[in-house]
Amino acid sequence: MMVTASHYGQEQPKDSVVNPLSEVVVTGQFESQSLKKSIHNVRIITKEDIKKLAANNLGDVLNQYLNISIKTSGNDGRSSVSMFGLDAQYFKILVDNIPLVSDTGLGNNIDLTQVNLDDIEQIEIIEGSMGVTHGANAVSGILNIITKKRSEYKWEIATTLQEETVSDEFALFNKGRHIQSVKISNNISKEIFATVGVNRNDFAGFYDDRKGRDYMANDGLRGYSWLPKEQITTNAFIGYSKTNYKVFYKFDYFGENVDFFNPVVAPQDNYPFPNTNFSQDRRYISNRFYHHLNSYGKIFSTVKYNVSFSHQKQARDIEKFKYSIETQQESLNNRATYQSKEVLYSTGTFNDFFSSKVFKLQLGYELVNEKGFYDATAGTFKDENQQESDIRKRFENYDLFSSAEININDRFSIRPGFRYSFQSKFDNQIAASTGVRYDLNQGIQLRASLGRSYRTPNFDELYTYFVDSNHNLQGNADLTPETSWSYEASVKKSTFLASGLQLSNNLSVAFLDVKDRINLVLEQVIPTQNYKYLNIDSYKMWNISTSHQLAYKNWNANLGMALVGVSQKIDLAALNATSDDKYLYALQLNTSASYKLPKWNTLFSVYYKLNGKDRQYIAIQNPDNTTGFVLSEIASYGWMDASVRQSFFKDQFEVTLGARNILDVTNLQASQSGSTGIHSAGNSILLGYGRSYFLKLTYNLNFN
Amino acid sequence: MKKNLILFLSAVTLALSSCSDDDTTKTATNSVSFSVPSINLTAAETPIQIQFSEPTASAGTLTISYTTTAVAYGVDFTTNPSATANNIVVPFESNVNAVSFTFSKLVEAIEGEVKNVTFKIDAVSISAVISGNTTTKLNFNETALVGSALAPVTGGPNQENQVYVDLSSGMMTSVPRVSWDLGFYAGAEFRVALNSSVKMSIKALETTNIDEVQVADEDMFIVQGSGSVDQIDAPEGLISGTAISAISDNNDNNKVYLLNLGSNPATVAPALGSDGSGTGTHRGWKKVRILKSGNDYKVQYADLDATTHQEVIITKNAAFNFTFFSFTTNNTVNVEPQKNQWDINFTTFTNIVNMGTLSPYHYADFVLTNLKGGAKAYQVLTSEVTFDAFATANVDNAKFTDDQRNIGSNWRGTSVTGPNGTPVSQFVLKTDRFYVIKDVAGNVYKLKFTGGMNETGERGYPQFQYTLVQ
Repeated sequence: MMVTASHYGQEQPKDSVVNPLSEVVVTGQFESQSLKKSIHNVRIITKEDIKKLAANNLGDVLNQYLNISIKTSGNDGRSSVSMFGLDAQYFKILVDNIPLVSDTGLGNNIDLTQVNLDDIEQIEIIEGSMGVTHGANAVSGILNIITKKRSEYKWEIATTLQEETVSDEFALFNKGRHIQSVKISNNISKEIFATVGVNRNDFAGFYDDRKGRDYMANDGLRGYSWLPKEQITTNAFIGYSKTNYKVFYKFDYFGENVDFFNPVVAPQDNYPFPNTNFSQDRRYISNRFYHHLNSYGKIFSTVKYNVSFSHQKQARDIEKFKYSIETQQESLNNRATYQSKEVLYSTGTFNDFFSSKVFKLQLGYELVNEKGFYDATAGTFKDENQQESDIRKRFENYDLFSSAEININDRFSIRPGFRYSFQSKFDNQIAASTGVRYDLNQGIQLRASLGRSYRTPNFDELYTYFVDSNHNLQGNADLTPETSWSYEASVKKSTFLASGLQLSNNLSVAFLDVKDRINLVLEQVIPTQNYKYLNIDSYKMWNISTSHQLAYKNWNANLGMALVGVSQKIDLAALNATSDDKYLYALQLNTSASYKLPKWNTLFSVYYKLNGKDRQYIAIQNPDNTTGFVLSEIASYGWMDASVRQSFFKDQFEVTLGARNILDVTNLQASQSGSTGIHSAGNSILLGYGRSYFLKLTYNLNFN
Repeated sequence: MKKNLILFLSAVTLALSSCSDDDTTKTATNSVSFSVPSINLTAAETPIQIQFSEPTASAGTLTISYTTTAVAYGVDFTTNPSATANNIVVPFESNVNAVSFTFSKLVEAIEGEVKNVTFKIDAVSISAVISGNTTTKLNFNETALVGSALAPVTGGPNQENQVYVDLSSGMMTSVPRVSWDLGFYAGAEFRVALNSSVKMSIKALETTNIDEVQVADEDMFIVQGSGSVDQIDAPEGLISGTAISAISDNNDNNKVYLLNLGSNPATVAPALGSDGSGTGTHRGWKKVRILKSGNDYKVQYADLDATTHQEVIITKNAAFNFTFFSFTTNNTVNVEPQKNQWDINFTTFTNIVNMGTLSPYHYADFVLTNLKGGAKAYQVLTSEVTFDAFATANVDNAKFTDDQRNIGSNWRGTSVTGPNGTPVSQFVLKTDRFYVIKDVAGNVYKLKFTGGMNETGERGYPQFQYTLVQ
């Protein structure tokens, strides 16, 4: 992990146009190595991409990534990833190779707005089931955030001020987005490097047609369309590094405050005086503490080990209060934990048991101890007496895994792998994978891989309980994990021409099959409607995608395209209805270009992604009261970001001016909305708050 | 370099620390008002209360004037503090919410005489606005109240009580919902009503033999999507719509009925925002046969497996809508006030809803009008005319229809969008409407609901204000 950074010290061109063809990756590797040697097809989002987008959280970056779309909730302000139509429960997000905790998951269900990008070297993404190297819930793919662990200078001080409009709303304090950050790095000695940073991101909310906090009419217009959110991130890192021994400790704190202002305004009876108004408002307060201790070295002078220990905790509190609108006063404040997750985690790998270049073996372990808490109101958790009942559960899993790398020759390598997971709550699980890489001449690489992974059921699926004379909605403690197989084949060609033109072309085909998908099923209709979570549905996806990168003099360009077909069978057992499972296709396209004006050192960049028309089957009630399925369509939309960056005073001062969501996308309506089931689907999808502009000022002070 | 750095860091610190919101709170201006706009003088001495909206900032005085109708100061009444030149000066302390003066009635009025005194707040010595009830009218005889604000005690989220309200006197009568089972109509017809507040249902059997053993029929339970609309009283409230047929002079026509006694309220509070009024234990079963006995009812009843029965005679009392009987006490019980002494009833109720087919449905926070006593109501949206502007000219008598549910559950909703976009239970007061009520004496009041839940969000705490339409 730390070795990743070594590449930058030596090879990073001083020119800020990064050479896209000589990247080094760590994710899914025995040790960091050049991208072209990787058996997995690793996609990279560079630090430079993040800078050009002036991205302030992971969501801003992934908006431009092929095969990923982002969903936002206007009710609690969370944004989550959806890959190939599978939600955030199937996608695992790691920081320096260890899964990041969220309110409700470890690595999965991450709120993208809670992942700050200040401290990042690069982001690596592998699509497909990565169960062997990354364990549970790495079904649709993994995303590994590699943080910065080294500096060229004795002192590096960076301060940033970023002001953004939210659509066309902006004011110095109460509208728009305001970001301030400071980061200080110091090479204390030749071996010791330390860094501390703090970032504040104040999103004042998006009013849209709503009227904010102090609006008194009870017409549903009080509050915000996107909830105000204030985030503080701090991080600290200290690392010690010698040739054969490295150790680092990293601590991150994240705090967030999200305000929900109830659209329902209630009168306060003050008879004989006129009514005043109040609302029952709430705020969500999240705190995350992340500790990571990593050690890398050699034992018995040959075997390399890389071991991490981590303790992480994220808790989301809910504070309910009565807000008196006339006096702007809060009262009856009542704060309690809403959801929390505490994790003790360790993973380690051991390589190089023999000094063979042909056969390399990696043994690894992963120990996970998760303690989860759901307040009764965070889902539907009641007991037999209709009393709300909190859910507090501990899950453990102890995994062993092994991979081998067989380098038949310089060009041809095979990598089989296997993981066995001892689970405390579920049946023991296995994951398996095989990868093949073959180098043809002329810089052409062929890759193929298959992988098996699994997703463990969540609290809602396991513990939902609400049974009375009118309702019967039950979780299912006997659910088994969903299992997935994924297959990918790709060909990549790298070209270096004498003129300095560099090209990389990639074509890949993938197939993903998820079995035993969990869904809430109407089991029985008469005498009462009984709903239960069951392992019942199926999901298949195949896609063909191609991407092309070009670097020539001051130009950098990228073009990608993907056609994704998804086949899902939704089984509504008791209603005698099963959806068609034909493949429904969607096209995505992304492109970006940047140009550096040589004389002025001005960098122009533009990013564009087209999300094609998306279709899926949803259940509806026919006029004759039978249940059927119709295709619901979400129209296609484009997402464009652009920026201009100018450096002054030998790169000490940087100004970035840009626009986000230039095509002014807000929300899209699905053509049909579901009408069957307890949770009928809403038909409006929140994609963005419209075109907004930003100005980012960065002051870098580097000295020795 | 160092200087540069310090300057820079302090600029950033300033930026980080200066970004706080405007968290100042506003202070309300004080207002002063009589507690109520009219009082019927029943005692010799009556305290007349005046309220402040905020605790008084300092000590001071109120100057109150009065006008009289057919009475004279010192002859028919006096006050303490006493009046000089038609004015009373009432002192108050600092940091108080209310102050009162005493009104002493010296001479009783004879029935039919119109005698009253109207007091008016003219001035207040501290900074306060005179608002709300700027006057109060003291009636020597019983006269319909000009208005008031009431909070019926239905018992919170399990709503154990039904509360009968008489608008013209402001009187409220609360009885436990489970205190009675059947109501025997006191009018000309021989009709028997079910207790529709506890999910009761009833079914006629083929037999006339009360001593025949019967079995329970769980299809009669009233739960979502089940139960039969023929087994409950017609919810409009007309006496002709009872589930039990009119009692016949011919005893062969008076069948035995299988009676599902419904559900008790829950004994523990439900989840916040939910209703526990109908989720308690089942109240059991009875078989019952009702006959005429002269101008009285003869009731035969027993448990289902009994081969003998009990028999009671229930007499009609014309002052009431019904005579009520309880199988728990095996006796008649007091429930409704006299039929001309209540106008609206806060209760739970078995209504009929259309869920594909018509089906009985249990409602909490329901409001019925005393249709059998002659009280009727209709709803007005504030988009048509505001509560304050509504006057006699706005009253549309054609809208006073024969349906006791014209207030019903229309005044509130029960769900809002939750944090994950799905509906969650939360009481929602509808503030875009109010009601016009013609009471049993023919007075027309306008009534608006001002609350339905308590401050923590529990249901079953209704509040309303009403004013005589004039």
